[in-house]
Formats: sequence, structure tokens, C-alpha cells
Amino acid sequence: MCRMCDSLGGDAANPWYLNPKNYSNRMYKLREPGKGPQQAATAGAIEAGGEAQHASPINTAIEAKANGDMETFNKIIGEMNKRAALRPGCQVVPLHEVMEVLDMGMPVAAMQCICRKTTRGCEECSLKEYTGLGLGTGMLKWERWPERYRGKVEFLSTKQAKEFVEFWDKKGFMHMLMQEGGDFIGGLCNCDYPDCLPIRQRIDYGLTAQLVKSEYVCFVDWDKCNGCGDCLGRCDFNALKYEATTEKAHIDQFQCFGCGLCETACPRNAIEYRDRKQIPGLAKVW
Amino acid sequence: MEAIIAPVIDIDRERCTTPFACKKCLQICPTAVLAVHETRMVRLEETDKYLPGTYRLRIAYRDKCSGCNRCVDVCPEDAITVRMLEEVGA
Amino acid sequence: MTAAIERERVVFPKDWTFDLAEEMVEAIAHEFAPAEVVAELARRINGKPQAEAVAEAEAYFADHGHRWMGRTIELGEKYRDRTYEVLLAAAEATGELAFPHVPERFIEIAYLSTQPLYSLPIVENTRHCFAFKMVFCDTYRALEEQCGDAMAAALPCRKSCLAAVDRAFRDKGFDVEVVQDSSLADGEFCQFTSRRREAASGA
Repeated sequence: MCRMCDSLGGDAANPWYLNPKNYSNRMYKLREPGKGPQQAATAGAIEAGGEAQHASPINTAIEAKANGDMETFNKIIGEMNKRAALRPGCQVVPLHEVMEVLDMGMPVAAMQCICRKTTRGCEECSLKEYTGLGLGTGMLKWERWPERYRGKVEFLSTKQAKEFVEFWDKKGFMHMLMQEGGDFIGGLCNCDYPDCLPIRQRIDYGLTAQLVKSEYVCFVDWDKCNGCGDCLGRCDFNALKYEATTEKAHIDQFQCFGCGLCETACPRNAIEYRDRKQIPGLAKVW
Repeated sequence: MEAIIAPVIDIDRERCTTPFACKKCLQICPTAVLAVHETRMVRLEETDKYLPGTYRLRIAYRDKCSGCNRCVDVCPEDAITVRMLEEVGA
Repeated sequence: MTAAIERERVVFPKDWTFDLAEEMVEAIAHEFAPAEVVAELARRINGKPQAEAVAEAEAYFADHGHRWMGRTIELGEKYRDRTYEVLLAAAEATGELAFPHVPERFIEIAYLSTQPLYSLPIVENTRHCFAFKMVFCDTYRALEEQCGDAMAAALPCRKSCLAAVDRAFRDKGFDVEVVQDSSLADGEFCQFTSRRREAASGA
């Protein structure tokens, strides 16, 4: 078991994200005595994007790397990983289990991807463009911070939400549950490299603890694979290639995140999920 | 192994004032080195992307900059310069 | 990558509030203060034998829970907030979400108004089930203080919670089975779980 299930109540049969308790959330809270008014309507501006962000450890590490100082870079990344490992992080979830998550029926609202806004300046402002899903009763209060949502969200029925995720799966986005430090699940992201912050931070900078691999590893059934190549180009993690020797797809199990994008693209069902925990050499590769 | 030193990128913020509305450099960068952030979040209000200073362009992943200069070429305000370190003279 | 669609910048009215109206919370707190509810019970059962007293207490609490939730729904509908309006619109648009969230709102209001809580510990709120727990309960504490440990151990006050939760769902059009999974009398908290009866599932 990985630290996610350890701390969030999952077991061998049901990982943490299929435990309904992890989606439970209140709608209201009262102001505690001594704290300010619940809502100063006209005040409440958050200063963002300023020097504070430049000073964050990851940005210091990236600057060090850009200047060729790998010693400082490795030191900071090592410390960040150690800290992040104490708390749950985000986890990759394959499509078939995303469907089970959506079946629990919490509020689900399609929204703009915050990472893609930041890295590419994207302005997703309609259901056709949205790529992210906000989860939970917190979405009922999205209007408090319209900038975060660029002015709109779209609440979806379970059926619509499933179609939404299937649509982006087909397009080539993998799925991640955004667990916020053990407190709540903020969203279900559909994303790829390089726009997505957690994917990028793991792949480019080795921040391994914030984004956890899925419960699965993908295997190619070489009897079924005919080398058609439909799965190629869908792997974000350099795990999948076409192996010229065998004329079939090849998956590096240690690179594989178990996102299943290759599986959902395979017309011959030649890719299968295996439980990571059941494979001795991979049980601790998260 | 010799350390790889990334190019130095400068943004003239007198010239680059509405990067979220413009976003040309963000969308053209092959390795997505740049990022844009709102400088303020106001309750109940979307930020005005045309108002100078409401968003700020940031060099987020300088180690991934190859010095290809596509952002320099696409910037309508000539606000970006990319130089290799020997040119900077450090 | 799609080009940005030009549109009006969104600016919402500054007087929108997403929190519960304090006036409403205070009114319910005043009308259903646990210490006074229990004091009234203590007067009624004073001197009666234990078995008779417990039976009367249970009937008293069942009635109390019913009235408590009735008044909460009345005031909760009068004092709407933006969170509730968004929920109603989302429920309308999706055909889902009314269960459990509309009754959940009134259950939260009822407990936040009368119990020493800043937020109600929700254990589960999915399309099938709504469960919450009470760790520090003023009603239970008042029972111990005013009616004695034996009466508290009988936990007649559970009838109030069961009745209130049942009414919240029933008044909002949902048929649920409300059960108590855990009790303050022999554990660390009370937990109440409402499961939707499948025959009634639709909206």
C-alpha cells in the first residue's frame, strides 16, 4: 500500500479514492469568535503572482539548475520530496476508475484548467473548452473568486461528467485526482505535459511525492498486440514505445504511471492493467 | 560532465503590461518556459486582462529555455530579450 | 489551442453572501437552546420512575426534533444565501444533487445554530447516503447535568436527531431510512446515517 491509502482509508480491494468518506464535505461553516467577518464583501483582495512566488523553493531550485548549480538543485528537491512524503498528494487514476469516482454523485462542475491558464494563457470559457472538473460542495461557492474560474463554471450530471472525461481521454489527456494535503479532493484534472504543473514538476524536476502513480501498471499482451501503433504518442511518461525487434508496443514498467491512456486507445484490448502492489519489484514504485 | 547553463531571459515590464491578453509568447514557446499570473484576486470580480499590471509574465522554467528566440520574435512590444551567459558577461 | 472568446468581464454584486444569515442562526439558537429544552424535560419527568421518565423523554425529544427541523426549514427558506441558490440552480440543471445537499443544508443549519460547532462533521454525502457525527453535544451534556447519568445513558435525545433528520429529507421530498450507527452513551460520538430508499430514487 502506498501512503495515500495509508492515510486516507483505502485497502487492497478499494483504493482511497473509491472510499466515499474522502469526498464528504460540509456546505457551511460559522465564523469562530475572534475571527473577522465571514465576508468583507468589498475587501478581500489577494496579492498574487508577486515576489513571494519567485521565492518558493521550487523556483529557487529551478534557478539553481538554470545556472548549472545541480548541487543546490538536488538539495532543495530532496527536501521538498521529504516534506511532501509526509502528506497525501495527487494521484493518477485510470479512466475506468474515474467512472466509479463520478458515480458517487458529488457536485461536479466543468471549469477552466488553472495550470493551462498559467502556462499557455488559455482562456477556457465554455463547456466545449473546459478541461478540468471541480468536485464537491465547495464548487457551490465558486462565484466568490470568479478570477479562478474566469467567470463561469458548468455543473454536470453524472452522465455528462462521464462523457466529459471520456472526451478528453480520447483527446489524450490523462486523469488525476487532486488531493489537497489530506484535507479534501479539490478536483479531477485532465491534463498532459507540459501544461500540467504536477506532471511537469515530477518529470522535469523529480518532485516524486506530489504526484503519485496510479494503482496499476500497464502490460502489453503480445499475443493480442499487432503493432498497429494506435497507442503511440499517448504516453506522457516515456514508458511506451514501438519496439522494432518484436514489431509490437513495449512498455517500461518502471516508467509507467498506469494512467491507461494506451489502454483506452488500443482497438484490440492488448493492454491490461496489473495491480502495482502485487508485483514485487513495483510494489514500492509510486 | 559540464554543467548546462541556460540562457538569461529578461522581460521589460514597462513594455509587457498585459501579458494575459496578449499571450503570444506563452503560446509559442516550444518548452513552455513562461507563465502568467494575476497580480491580484478580488472577491466577486474577474480580473481585467486589459488593465496594465493586472497580470505578470514570469520566467517559470528557465532551465528549459533553449535560446531559440521565438518569444523574442513574436513579442509585439519587443519586451523580451534572451541572451547566452557569455553575452551577459557573468 | 483556441483563441480567447471576447466577452463581458464578470463582476458579481458585492452584497452576495455565501454564508448562513447570522440573524437566522441566532433565532434558532434562541428558540431551541439545548439547556432550556432539557430543563423543560426535567420539569416534566421530575419524580417519575425511570422507565416512565425515559418513555416520556423519548416522546418529548421526538416532538422537539420535528419542531426544531420544521422551524429550521421555515427560516432557512426565508434566509437564502448564494450557496443555496447555486445549489438549487445546479440541481435544476443536472437533475441531481438535490439529494443529499438540499436536506443537508437544513441539517447543517439546525446543528450549527444550536450546538457548539463551527462546522458539522460530515462523514458521507453521496447520492446514496448522508451521514454526520456529533462529538460534543450540548443536549447530551445537559441531560447528564439536569437529569442524571442514568437518563443520559438511555440517550432519549437520539429521538430528536432521528426525527429532525427524517423531517429534513421528508419535507424536501426524499424517502430515507435514518439509523443511528454510534452513540455518545457508549462511544465517543453519535453518528446518524440516512440512506435513500431505492424505490424513491429518481431525481
